Amino acid sequence: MNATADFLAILLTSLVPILAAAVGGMFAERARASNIALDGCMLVAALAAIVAGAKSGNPWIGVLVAVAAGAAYSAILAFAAFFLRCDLIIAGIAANLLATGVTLLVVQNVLDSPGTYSPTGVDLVPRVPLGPLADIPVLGRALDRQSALLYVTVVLAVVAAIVLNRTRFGVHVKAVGESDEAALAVGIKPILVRTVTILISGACAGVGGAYLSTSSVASFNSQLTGGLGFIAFAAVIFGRATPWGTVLASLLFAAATSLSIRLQGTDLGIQQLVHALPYVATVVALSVQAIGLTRRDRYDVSETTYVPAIIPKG
Amino acid sequence: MKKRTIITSAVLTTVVALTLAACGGGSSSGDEGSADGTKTINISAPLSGQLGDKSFMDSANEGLQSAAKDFGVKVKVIEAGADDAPAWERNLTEASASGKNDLIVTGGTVMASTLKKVAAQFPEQKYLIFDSPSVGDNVTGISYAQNEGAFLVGALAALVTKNPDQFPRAKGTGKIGLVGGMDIPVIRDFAVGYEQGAKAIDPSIEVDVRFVGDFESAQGAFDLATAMYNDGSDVVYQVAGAAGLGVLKAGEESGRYAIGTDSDQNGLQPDSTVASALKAVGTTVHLAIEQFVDGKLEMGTTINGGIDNDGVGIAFNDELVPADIQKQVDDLRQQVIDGDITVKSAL
Repeated sequence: MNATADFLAILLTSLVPILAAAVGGMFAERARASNIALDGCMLVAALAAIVAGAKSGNPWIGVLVAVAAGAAYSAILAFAAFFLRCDLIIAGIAANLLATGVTLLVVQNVLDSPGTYSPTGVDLVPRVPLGPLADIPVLGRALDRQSALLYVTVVLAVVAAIVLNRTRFGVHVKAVGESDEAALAVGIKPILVRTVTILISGACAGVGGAYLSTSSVASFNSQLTGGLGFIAFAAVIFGRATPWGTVLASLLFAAATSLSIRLQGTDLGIQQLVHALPYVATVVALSVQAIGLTRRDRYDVSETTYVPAIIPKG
Repeated sequence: MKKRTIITSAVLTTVVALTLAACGGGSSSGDEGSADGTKTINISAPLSGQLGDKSFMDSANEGLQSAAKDFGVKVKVIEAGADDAPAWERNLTEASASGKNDLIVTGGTVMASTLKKVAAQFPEQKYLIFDSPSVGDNVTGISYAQNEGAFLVGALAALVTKNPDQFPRAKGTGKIGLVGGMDIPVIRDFAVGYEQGAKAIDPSIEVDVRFVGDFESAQGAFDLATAMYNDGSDVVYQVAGAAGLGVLKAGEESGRYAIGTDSDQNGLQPDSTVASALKAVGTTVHLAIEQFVDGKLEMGTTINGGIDNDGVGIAFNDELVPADIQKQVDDLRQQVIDGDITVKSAL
């Protein structure tokens, strides 16, 4: 019982950065504006969170600044792609590389710190104790003392699902994603909608970034994300940019991470193989899905089905 | 279309330039020149990681900076990502090719193969590598018996889980853990010594060894260590560079104990860090530079830092570890020095 609960607990802590970034990435992807710079946004936001948290003494100000920083950083991407007409994917790659360089530059030359910035006495984002509820079997133990950002992320996912499926803006996003011409014909501005979705994706990635630098350990270095932004992007694609799909895909990847931590403690251990688990899961999941879609598309003649934006349409 | 290509390449160029600028951002210190008119000795130190881990790299940096102050040499430290091997080679080659450096200092077992390649190309350049044996006629190595340091903390960890009455945060599970950064030989060397140290106290102690997968993800290391405490480990020893800060924090949060590495990390989480295994990187680097300044550093040889010459050791947290426990560990230390116990190695 406790083993299951501990597995779930680690799954949930691994879920936060993936899901937060994926929820935002879903909007961008749905509007056919793939944000592959989620990782870069997370990194910049992680730095913003710890700096703002340390200077202001309040971790929540850190989180807010991180959200703003993530959005601002993704605005660079939107500017390059929609104003300068740069290819979105190339600009995204550039933004990811730039994030590593810029954060290191700021850490060393502005904060005057060595490569790993770990200010002392920073308040972390609080953990939520469940009190008497912690005695509920399995779930109580799994949920007790999780970061408050876990709940923020869950709320984020629910709000995102409502916005995408139940609001006018959501319809606009989907319309732009399916056909620019059709959207234009009814007076929706595709570039505007795409810019907004990219900003949303950056802001959400900011929550994930803040989680990495200010929830358990107050430290930052320019390799902090460990590629989590790319896993989040894979979750968006695997989830076909739908709310449920994205949440389930994020859960799958978080479960793979948690499983790899647990399996290391058993004697099954081929360490290297166990370590590769989250990545193997990503590849296998995407392959299985691709095979399934190819089969289905053979009989599908409609032109309006959703195709991941990174695959050119038609 | 053409305009678009130009803009794209302009953006990419800017990015590359900024990235490189950030990589090259080092820190230098020391006197600009000596007053008595002799030539200032220049030392460049392209490292295989970033400073700020409060451990291995910071200890090396202390040695370099104190040498700069004590001997009036000019030291330039160049940091690079801990998994960015191409950058290490680039920095190393650049420092060698400039011809301005009297000595190039680098470190880490992972750097050895890169240095071997580069040092062979510049036979006139002198090199010092810490945490690795010499890899060429123009290279002096400093290697540490990290297995012996790990042996000591392994013994302490076993004593902690065996004596929950003296260590109130321990539950007496008879299980201890080690979190490594990556599954590489030098980390395995720590693990072998740690396990042997624990079994020297009690052969029935269980040792749980897990890896983060990198040396940077403090959050990942925190989750990993939390899982290990949940699985019963009373003490977790971290050998994970900057990510290891997450292990020390997890020890505090989980209400158990942790052990630091390479530098004295006891002060970071003073209520839960029982000790740190020391690797005297700073002291030995300082000493080697002193020898170099005096013209006594022999190229092609390796300086060995072991338990007997304080190259490795243990720093207890006196607030948490009672004197009789410290004495038991010190007795084992003496047995290793006397040669009664030989600590196994994975290298």
